[in-house]
Parts: sequence; structure tokens; C-alpha cells
Amino acid sequence: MDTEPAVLLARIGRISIVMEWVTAALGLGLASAYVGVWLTPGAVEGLISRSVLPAGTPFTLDATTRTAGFVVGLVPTGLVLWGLWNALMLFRGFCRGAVFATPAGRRLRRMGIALLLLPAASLVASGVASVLLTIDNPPGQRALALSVSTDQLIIAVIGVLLVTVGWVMALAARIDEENRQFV
Amino acid sequence: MPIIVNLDVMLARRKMRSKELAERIGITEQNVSLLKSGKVRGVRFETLERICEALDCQPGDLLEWRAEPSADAGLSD
Repeated sequence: MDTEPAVLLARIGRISIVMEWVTAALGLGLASAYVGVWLTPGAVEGLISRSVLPAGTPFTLDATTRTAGFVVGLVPTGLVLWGLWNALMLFRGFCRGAVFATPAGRRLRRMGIALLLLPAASLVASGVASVLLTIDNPPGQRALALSVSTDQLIIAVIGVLLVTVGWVMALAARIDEENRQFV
Repeated sequence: MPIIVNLDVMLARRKMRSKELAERIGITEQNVSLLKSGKVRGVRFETLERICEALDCQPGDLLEWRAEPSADAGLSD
């Protein structure tokens, strides 16, 4: 029966092996892409025109604003990378059979916190970036660009769910430990 | 702890080693040791059944309740 513990544990192990590599690749890819965008001539300008400021808004991208933008963008990017790191460690633990383990609950909660904070971090980062990029514009042409989408709200809800499941996992780990003390 | 496990006594009577009992009843030797020393939270009926079958005994031969001495025992009136 596919709900037998041995069957489920084997399935968890198989999926976790794959996902360990997927999350590692995603993390490396994201970090590389973030650095790459800032190092590629014209890439940041294109990104700003498409995603940060309303179309046609003039902006200043000198060494100072470029550095500030890199640092500001690190906040949401860092959150995502932190979440992916915890996902990687969670899958690695599952591969080793540590399913009902206290660290698993802790990793899930941290992933949840990353998702929960991500919409706010992105909102603040894009707002700060828009101000930094247009601060040198004449009055009336400066911008504070903020946007919230339903996708971000759904991400936050999933974050709360993961935090809650993390608490459930911590409880499950305690129950499992207690169960092991019965022979 | 009020519940005393007399498994070591029964093993001696039946001249059986812990390792052999562990193999017969399908639990690890470590768990048999923990059970002998009473360092477990509980015993499943299934395990108790297998032990009784392997040692040809009753659950009462393995488990004993002994009252804990009260705090004021020995104080005179």
C-alpha cells in the first residue's frame, strides 16, 4: 500500500535527492544571475525600465546609485537565497532519513519566514531603488514606485503555511522520539 | 519507577541470552537491554506477547509493581 511508512520514506528519499540538486542549482543560478545583471552593460538599465520605474521615467545610474541599488536588491535576493539554503538542508536531511527531526521543523519555519518577508522586502527594495534612481531628477520627475500583486500575497500566505507546518513538524519529532522509547 | 521489569530473571531461568531473545522477538539487542533495565517508556502488547512466547512465561513473571517509598516513611507518630 502506498501509505506504508517504508514506501513513503523511500519516496521522500528519492524526491529529496533530486530536489537537493534542484535547490542547489536554483540558488547558484540566482546568485550568479544577480551578480551577472549588475556586471553586464545595459542589463540593469533594461531591468529598471521594465520592472522598477514607470516606462519613460528618466533616472540616474552612476557609481553611487549602482552600488546602492546592488545593496538594496540584495535584501530580497538574500531572503530568497536563505530560503533556498534552508530548503537544500531540509532535503539533505530527508535524504539521510531524518524526516521527523527537530532540524526539519526549524528549516521549514525559516523557509516560511523567508517567503513571508519576501513581498515586504521586495516592496521596500523597489521603493528605495526608485527613489535613489530619480533623486537627481528635477522636482516633479522624481518617483516612488511601489507595487503589490496577488502573487506576492499568495507567497506570504504560503510562508505562513510553511511556518505552521514547521511547528507541526516539531511536534511530530517529539511524538516520534516518544514513540521510539516504546519497545 | 514503580514498574519493575524482571526480564533478566526470566532469561536466567530459561538460560537464554539477550541476543537470542532479541533475534526471536524481532527487536534490537539494544532495546532488550533497555527493557531489562527498565529504561523504556512502555512495552507494546505485541512485544510482550512475543517475549512470553519465547520465554514460555506470563506477563506477570516479567512485570512487577512495587510501591515507591513515601517521603515521610520512617517518621514516628
